Amino acid sequence: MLAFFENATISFRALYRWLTPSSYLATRIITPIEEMLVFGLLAAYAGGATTVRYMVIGNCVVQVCLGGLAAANTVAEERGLGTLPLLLASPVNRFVNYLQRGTWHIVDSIVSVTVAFVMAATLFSIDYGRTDWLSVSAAIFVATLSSVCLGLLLGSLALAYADFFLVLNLLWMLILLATGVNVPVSALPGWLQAVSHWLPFTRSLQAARDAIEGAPLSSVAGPLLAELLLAVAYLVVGYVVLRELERLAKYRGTFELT
Amino acid sequence: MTLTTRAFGGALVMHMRLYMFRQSRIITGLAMPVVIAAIAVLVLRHDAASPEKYFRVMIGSGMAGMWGAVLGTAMLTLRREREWYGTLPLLIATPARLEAIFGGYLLAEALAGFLAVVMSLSAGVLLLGSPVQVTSPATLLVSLPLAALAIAAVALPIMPLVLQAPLLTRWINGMDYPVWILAGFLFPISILPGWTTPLSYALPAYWASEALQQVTVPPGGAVGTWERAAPLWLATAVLCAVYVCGALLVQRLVVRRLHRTGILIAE
Repeated sequence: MLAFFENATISFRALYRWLTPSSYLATRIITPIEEMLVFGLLAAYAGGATTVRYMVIGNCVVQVCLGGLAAANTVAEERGLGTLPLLLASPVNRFVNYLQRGTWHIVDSIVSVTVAFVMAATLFSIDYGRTDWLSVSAAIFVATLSSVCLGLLLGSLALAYADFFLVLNLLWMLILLATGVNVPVSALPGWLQAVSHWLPFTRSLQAARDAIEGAPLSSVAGPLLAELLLAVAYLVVGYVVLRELERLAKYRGTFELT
Repeated sequence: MTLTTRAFGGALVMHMRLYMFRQSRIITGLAMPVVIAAIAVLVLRHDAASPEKYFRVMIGSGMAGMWGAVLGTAMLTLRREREWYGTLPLLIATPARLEAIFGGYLLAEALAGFLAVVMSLSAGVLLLGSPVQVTSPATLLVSLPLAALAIAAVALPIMPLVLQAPLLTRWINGMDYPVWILAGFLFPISILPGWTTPLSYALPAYWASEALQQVTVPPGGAVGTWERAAPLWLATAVLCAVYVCGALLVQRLVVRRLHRTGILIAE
């Protein structure tokens, strides 16, 4: 277990060597707070305090997604740094190695969302008086897991699609629009509601909202379990895709599959 | 045609040809303005807002997309020239003025950013089912290019600063939203705390954004649309001139320092 975390740490430090304290502050603390400010102020312009609370909480919890999807960078960075062939030639357990890549993103996401909750209370006077913190923690943990798993799946696809940043950015936009971060899923057009059920985060975000309003763990367990299953599906598909693309790369003798 | 004009025009055309149809345009020109406009319109619809509010968020989302694209160019073009293409020493050595070349890049990006405005308006119209009434298309036709100029002017001083301190590129996202907020792209600055008002007034993008809002005001009031928009255009133009002069000054200081130290490539 210790080796797992050691390797996860080495992998994170190597692939995110640009993530200095200054960069971390800029990308993971300041920008999310600014984003929350923009949407919170938009809500204030649109109407009442209920809308403000809805959008601010949504933009707090969505920070887990931002951190989780960053896991997609892991495979792409290995490719960019030229270390992917070495990694694939090494005799490590590929699945364990795959899981290690998401580990620090879970921690990163949880730190970000914690900061966001504090800032929401400070800037928008969001009241957590009725909050069931155990349920909120469970919802955030599940949201993080599903985001990281989707990130790993995207990372696998990065082997075949070099410009995957485009996909990542489009997915982020879709999450902001369709998972209930800013607008209730019920207020979306029908076709978008259907899409929202296949995205990570829709169920866990609703569970987090319910928990903040006081819902106990037992009442949010169902949606969280469904999202966990979705996370496992992402993970399995991502791993299968990775192995298949690896096989194809070996067969063709190149990692440039596009 | 002077050397500066040729450099400006050449940079504008080259940037357009290089970057108009890049994949990143899908994010800044299509996805981002559409998603922001859609979110804003859906939120407003949920709260049964007035048509003026709809127009503000629709056009504001486009301006936000335009600003994002121009900021990206201001931040990353130097990195491109310096680290990716290695053409920065050639640009510095060329007899044309560097600020004319950078200005060309930024204006090209701002003009390409019109796509963002078109997309955000289209997304809003699609969601609302009926277009927001533009009562003065002529005002819109003057205000939109002026908005592009204003956005390019705000970004212009950033370029020499990035040349001096490349680490600033890591703050690219952090520099995006403050302009959305202070320029009142998605909401009027009246909902912000009073101490931010002077900051908004100092931004040409704010005055350009306010001028754009005039195009939906119904005619027939005591003051016509042109009379309301003209002072806002004037404020935009004056501030643009101030920003360009400031950028020229900073640019000269930075380039002189680069010549003195001889350090151009290393971070």
